[in-house]
Amino acid sequence: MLLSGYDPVLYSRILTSVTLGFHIIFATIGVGVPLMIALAEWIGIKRDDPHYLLLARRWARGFVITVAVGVVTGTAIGLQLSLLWPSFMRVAGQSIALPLFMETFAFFFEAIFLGIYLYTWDRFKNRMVHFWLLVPVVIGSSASAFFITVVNAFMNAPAGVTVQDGKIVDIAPFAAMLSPAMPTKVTHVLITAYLTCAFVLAAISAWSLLKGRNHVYYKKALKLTMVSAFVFILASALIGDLSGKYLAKYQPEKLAAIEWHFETTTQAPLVFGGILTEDNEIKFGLKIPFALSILAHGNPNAEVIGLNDIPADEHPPLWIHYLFDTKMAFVVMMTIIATAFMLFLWRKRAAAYTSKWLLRAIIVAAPLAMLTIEHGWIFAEVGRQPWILRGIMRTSEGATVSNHVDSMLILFTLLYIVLGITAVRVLTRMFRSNSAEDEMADRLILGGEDK
Amino acid sequence: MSYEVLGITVLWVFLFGYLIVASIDFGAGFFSFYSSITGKRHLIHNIIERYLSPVWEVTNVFLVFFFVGIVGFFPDTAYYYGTALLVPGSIAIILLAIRGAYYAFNSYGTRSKTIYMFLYGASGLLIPASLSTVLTISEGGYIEVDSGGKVTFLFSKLFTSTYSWTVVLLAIVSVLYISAMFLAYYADRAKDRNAFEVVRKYALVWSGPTILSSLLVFFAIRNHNPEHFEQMLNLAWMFVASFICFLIAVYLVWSKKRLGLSFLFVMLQFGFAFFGLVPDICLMFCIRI
Amino acid sequence: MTIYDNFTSEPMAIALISVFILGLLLLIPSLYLLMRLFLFDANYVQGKREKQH
Repeated sequence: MLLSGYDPVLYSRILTSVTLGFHIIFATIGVGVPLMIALAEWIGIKRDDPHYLLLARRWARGFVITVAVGVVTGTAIGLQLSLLWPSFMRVAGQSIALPLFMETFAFFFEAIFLGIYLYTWDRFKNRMVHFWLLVPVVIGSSASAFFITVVNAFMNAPAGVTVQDGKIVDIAPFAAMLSPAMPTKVTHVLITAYLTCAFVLAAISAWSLLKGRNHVYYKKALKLTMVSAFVFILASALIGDLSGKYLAKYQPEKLAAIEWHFETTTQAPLVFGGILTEDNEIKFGLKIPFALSILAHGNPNAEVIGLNDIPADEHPPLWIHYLFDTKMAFVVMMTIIATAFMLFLWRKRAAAYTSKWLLRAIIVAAPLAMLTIEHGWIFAEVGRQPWILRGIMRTSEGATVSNHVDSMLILFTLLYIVLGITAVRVLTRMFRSNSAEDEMADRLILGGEDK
Repeated sequence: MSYEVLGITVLWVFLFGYLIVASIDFGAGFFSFYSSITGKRHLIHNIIERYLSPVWEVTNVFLVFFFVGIVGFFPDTAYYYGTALLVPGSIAIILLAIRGAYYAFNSYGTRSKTIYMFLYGASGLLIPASLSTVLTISEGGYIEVDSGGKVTFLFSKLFTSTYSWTVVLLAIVSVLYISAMFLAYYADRAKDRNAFEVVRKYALVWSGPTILSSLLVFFAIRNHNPEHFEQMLNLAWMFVASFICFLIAVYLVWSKKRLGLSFLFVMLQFGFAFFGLVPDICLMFCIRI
Repeated sequence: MTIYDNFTSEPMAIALISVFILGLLLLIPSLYLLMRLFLFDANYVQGKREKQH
């Protein structure tokens, strides 16, 4: 206990958020980048285009570093859950251990094939064999995300269990995996991970193009990543809408808190921004009539449950309104950037790779995408409060009672700072010391200069 | 076979798998660092790197498997350990994180740095030491549950116990022994004579201390937990078998013959010893309180 | 306490063990492939294949 007023629940929450906030960056890269590598390698083989193959090779090389950090922080959060939330994990172990167990298998599968993939470039006569070795990596990493999100979905909308006097008595492990939150949550997490990685890789190509390195290699990379980003952003918009409908039906308090919706009404408006006065009136906000009813039920006249109909001690914190609005603002910006690129590609092809403003915007889109992931997670977790397992266990009941959580918080924060800084330094050094142009020369890949 | 026994068998098999692959990994990291300060790195670096690079991530998964398995099969045990082990558990996580990450930075990055090598070499010995305390704790006497259900971990008792230190010693020595025995086999397969001579020496040097520290642990268990010691005596044949496997394995390495078979005997040696401890099935999954 | 006091519920145990068996069916061939390519491939072990990542 380093500080007075020590509260293990608060520190456990902070430490868990720090670990997750750091891990999620690498987890997202871990889920999305294999898919992009697979796309590049597949196109490269099909079109017999060495540029795409080099792209896959270089992405894979950087990917290993991020995977390493992802693996160690993933192990950390896995163990930390038991250390910081022992009571919660006891209940979780009884009810939702199955997907956790499946996740380790998916991770195992991915780890084995990633090891094989990285060390077998040029080892097979038929290049498709090497490509097929990546498929288990893509499946394994996405399946990992799938299973972990299944656990989170259960925390939001427990299913498959019967609760008696606060204790879980009857358990159906497979039904617990199929909670109502599962379909929307899982697809949302997967698609946004793909989206974010497409933007991150696009930003790297845009950076090189902006620096005046106009080899066709970078243009191919930018086109592949930005077209993918555009597709994924359309898909995530659709799923975002379905998530709203899920919330209205199963977690109305979360939706009401996001939108500062107090009175249960029909034709409910959506509020963007604004401030809340002491008597719960919204000032300066931008009101979009009917929009909340449409988001919740797909019908402008539908009734949306307000916070006043929910017991006060079960209200989520109201500041998630800002988290949600910030996230949505980022989404709008990303949509504009991806659409702009598509329009350029369609109308003024050359300008898509040369327009300084567009390239700068694409570079900005990468951190925006990552921030959207972070905002989305914090909002999803804080919005579930005061519950750790909605309707069954409150967060305060799940935490450890140990005396040293604050010191551990300091240790882990230091660890993440050191890991983060070294990872970035190793990555930048890796690509600076061996530029794509040098590598193309080494590998005798011809053509494409100044096209 | 009841589900309980099946469940516990699954977990023990994975823990045993982790013990072997992680020992190879941890020991190799240490030897890599040690050889670089004694100027022999150029001799053994290649075989270590060629083995470790594709498999380090897989090693980590064995551990994750084990603790996710505990949460699933024995949720109450996970609760007690989770509450009691916040500090030692967190330290083990940090060491694992440093080791894994710096291994990758060192071998996949463009430059190899001595500081990176030191971090992953040193953490490779500290991790088995810290993980072995979990085994110590499962022998009982280090966790207290008061009438209000509050779980406390008796740090000072653990730090002052002879038993716990003998286990730490055994863990570190075995890691070096298992790893050197494996590398001898691998170097032989690689037909790398120079590397083979170096790691063979490591293997022979660490074989004596392995047996000595095992004996120490035996005596320490007798003092610490006589009941468990009695049970182990009933299974004395397993420990005798373990010792015979040890003799065969070391003889083969010493005479430079059949090194694959030799490593198989190393695994059997630890298998017998490890599963000789299990019949006290309570160990680890029902902490004595 | 013994393992029988701490054990999880029967449906969970059955589910976990079934998943474990299915998982092994997936993992053992994959591990075999990994070992064949890196541990028992004489060319790889002897470093005759260049480091190619």
